[in-house]
Amino acid sequence: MDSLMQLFYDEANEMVEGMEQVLLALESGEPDPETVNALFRYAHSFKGNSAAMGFTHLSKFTHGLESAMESLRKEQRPLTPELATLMLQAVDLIRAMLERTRTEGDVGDPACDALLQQINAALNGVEASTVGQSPSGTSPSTPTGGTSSVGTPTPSDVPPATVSDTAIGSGTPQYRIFYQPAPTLSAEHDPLQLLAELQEYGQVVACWFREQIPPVAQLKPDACYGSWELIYETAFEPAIVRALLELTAEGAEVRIEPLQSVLEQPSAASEASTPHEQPAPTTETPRVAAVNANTVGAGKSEAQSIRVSTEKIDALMNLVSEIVIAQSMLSSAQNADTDERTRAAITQMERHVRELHERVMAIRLLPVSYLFNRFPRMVRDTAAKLGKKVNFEIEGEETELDRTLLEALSDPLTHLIRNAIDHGIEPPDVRRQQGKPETGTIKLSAFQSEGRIYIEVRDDGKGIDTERVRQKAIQLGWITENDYPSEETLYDFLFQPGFSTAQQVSDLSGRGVGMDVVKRNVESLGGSISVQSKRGEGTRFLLRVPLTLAIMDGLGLTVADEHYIVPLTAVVEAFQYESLQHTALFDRHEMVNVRGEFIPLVRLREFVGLPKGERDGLIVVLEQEGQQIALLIDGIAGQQQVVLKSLEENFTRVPGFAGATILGDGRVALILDVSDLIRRAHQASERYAAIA
Amino acid sequence: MTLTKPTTDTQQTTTTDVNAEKYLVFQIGNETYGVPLLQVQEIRTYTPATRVPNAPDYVLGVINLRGNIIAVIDARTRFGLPPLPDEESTVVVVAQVNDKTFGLRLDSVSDVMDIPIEQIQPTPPIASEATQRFLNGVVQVGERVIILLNLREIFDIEALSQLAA
Repeated sequence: MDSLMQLFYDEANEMVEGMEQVLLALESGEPDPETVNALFRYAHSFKGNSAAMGFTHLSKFTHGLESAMESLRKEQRPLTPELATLMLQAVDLIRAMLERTRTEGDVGDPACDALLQQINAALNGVEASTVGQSPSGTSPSTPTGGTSSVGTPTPSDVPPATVSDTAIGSGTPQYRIFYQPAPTLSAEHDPLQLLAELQEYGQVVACWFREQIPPVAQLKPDACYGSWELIYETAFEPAIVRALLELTAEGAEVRIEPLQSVLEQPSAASEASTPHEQPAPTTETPRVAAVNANTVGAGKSEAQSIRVSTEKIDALMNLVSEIVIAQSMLSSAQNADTDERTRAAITQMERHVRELHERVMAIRLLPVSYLFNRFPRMVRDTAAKLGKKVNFEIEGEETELDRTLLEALSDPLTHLIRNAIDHGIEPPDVRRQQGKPETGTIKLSAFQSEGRIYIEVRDDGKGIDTERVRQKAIQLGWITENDYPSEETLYDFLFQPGFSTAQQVSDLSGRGVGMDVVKRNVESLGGSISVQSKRGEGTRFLLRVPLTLAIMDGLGLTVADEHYIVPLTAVVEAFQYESLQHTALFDRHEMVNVRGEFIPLVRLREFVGLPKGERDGLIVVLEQEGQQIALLIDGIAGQQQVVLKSLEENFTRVPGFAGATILGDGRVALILDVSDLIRRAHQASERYAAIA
Repeated sequence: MTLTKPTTDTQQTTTTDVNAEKYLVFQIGNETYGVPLLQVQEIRTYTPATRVPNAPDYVLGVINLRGNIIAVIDARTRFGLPPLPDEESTVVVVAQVNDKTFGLRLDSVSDVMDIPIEQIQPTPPIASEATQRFLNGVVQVGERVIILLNLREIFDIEALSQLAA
């Protein structure tokens, strides 16, 4: 995709997200004029951008929506829950249409008109006296817009008459502009830039590109083969528009004519629009949750930013890591003979390199608000569906996290928050009976501590019923009637595959895939999850994840003169190996006895193809997904943070290893794939068990 | 540590032929070999590689190339010759085939030469069947006979991946 398109989609997504956030903020709070303005601005820019890209259906629909917002803004009408729902549906529709433009180009959606009608009906329902001003978007459109897509028109093509209904509404004068750039293009006279500049003085409502491209053999690289025709909306005088166009494009042909003549036909269709579509009285609409997205401040200042591909950043990070290694080599090369000036320079260099390293690492980080901002909408919809009242709070949204991690956390957090609404927060009447406020609170917060990121999902709902968890575990045959495990053990059951306490399976949560998936997802990111709960007071889930995916805590293991790494999260314990603990099935399949439990033994020397060691070494017990192995090694080289590197990128997958890392001295160490080791060991033990 | 590609003015021009291609030339045992300079990314001094368990013997292991992990192949072992210990002159030629970067450990590199493409002849059966596929042909430049190597076959990532599967 070319960069202009990419820019369009990036911006479009931001605007759609912006509209959604503002709508949610509006719904829960006072109708602050500044917030309404923000909504209007998003819609307006979106309309303009999509028109400039030739997505006429999108721009037309947004235009209708904008007109509706305009009446909200001008008359300061309240955003009723019904209207908010409709507007949010419109945002969803825009998002879906936007996605379709990627593959299908400029296509319409039959739902557009119906939705606009509903929105206008809802608007008029609020204040019936303003019927006459029904925005034009409600008129049923004639589907001839297909001719107006960019690039396709034949030279005889003329903008179809249906343009008019995209163009009525705001009262700003409109013009039809014909623009033929100078026959020879130069760097200063970029027609596309001119179109972009027009956007700053008004609104391009529609845009046609007429190409006149000759056969390739006659093609001149610096010639312009094409012209544009625009419907342009501006408060400026035509003379100023002309001056603007001619200023930017010397030698161009420009024609401007007012569009009034076409506009002065009040659309009869809009008069006849909606009697049967009259909305149900608001009392009949489903109970809508009051969602307080109090993190969304309209008009908040945003940091200036540029978009950079992650590839570039990764290359930069690699280079900086190399500099760090070279630096440490330089530092260690100092000796008694090194003169004072060199020493000072090395020390200074060290400091700068360290800072450079930190800053480059920070580039990959994004504030968690990128992820958190998705949730207010979801909470609102979910709570409404379940008839619950939820106040959703967000805290620490400025905390920064690696982008890939943010994306990977989306599913687990969605699940936890849905669970909190579905199983945590009680229905309003139940809450009232218990003397709690009718509206429950779910709080999502993030903070950083000790080089790790913590994300907490806390609700003030009914808490986890440990007795029911126990009963379910008995039912599943995990414990017996007489077992009364500790609270922690019971909470652990929640994360086991096949466990779900939801009495009824709702369509939102508790469909088999449950907390075990959440736990697995979080662990695959090198993180962990824990839960605390108090009956009647609420539940708190705490996720602990590393700052970036690429960095993990590792434990260095040695055999002979070789150095391997295991992820620290997999390490349970380590102790001296004594042959007493050892037993072997059929002399071959070895097990060790760890406090009465037999765990398959894996000799690292054997695994990496080295001869047996002379002395007994250490045992490290590794665990993943509930299964353990005992790994026999020579020694432990200490704990360190390691950057995970791919072996496959330039080489191939290596069975038994998850990747490699670069040690402080520049050497490479391989990282053991714990789940693969465990799988092999357990497969072997099952085979032996079958023979026995 | 790293030797950048030599500039053109240091090249010998043994022929006026326009259809010449630059080759990196080196000695293994008694023979002189060459690889297209275009495939060579850089030449580095050899630093011990980290052994990769269960890899074929000609894979010495993996090294760190500016933050990327690349494999190093020992040319002598690959050709069935006994490996030589590390010397001052031991180098790794970093090359790229099929989007993958790898290193070829050599006893030393000697030269960059222009090789006239038309004069390349098919490989005579001087090598065994097994090593025949590593060769792209031979060419005589002045007094020297240069055996041209096929880096893709020497690295042979497909075969390595199959071993790993």
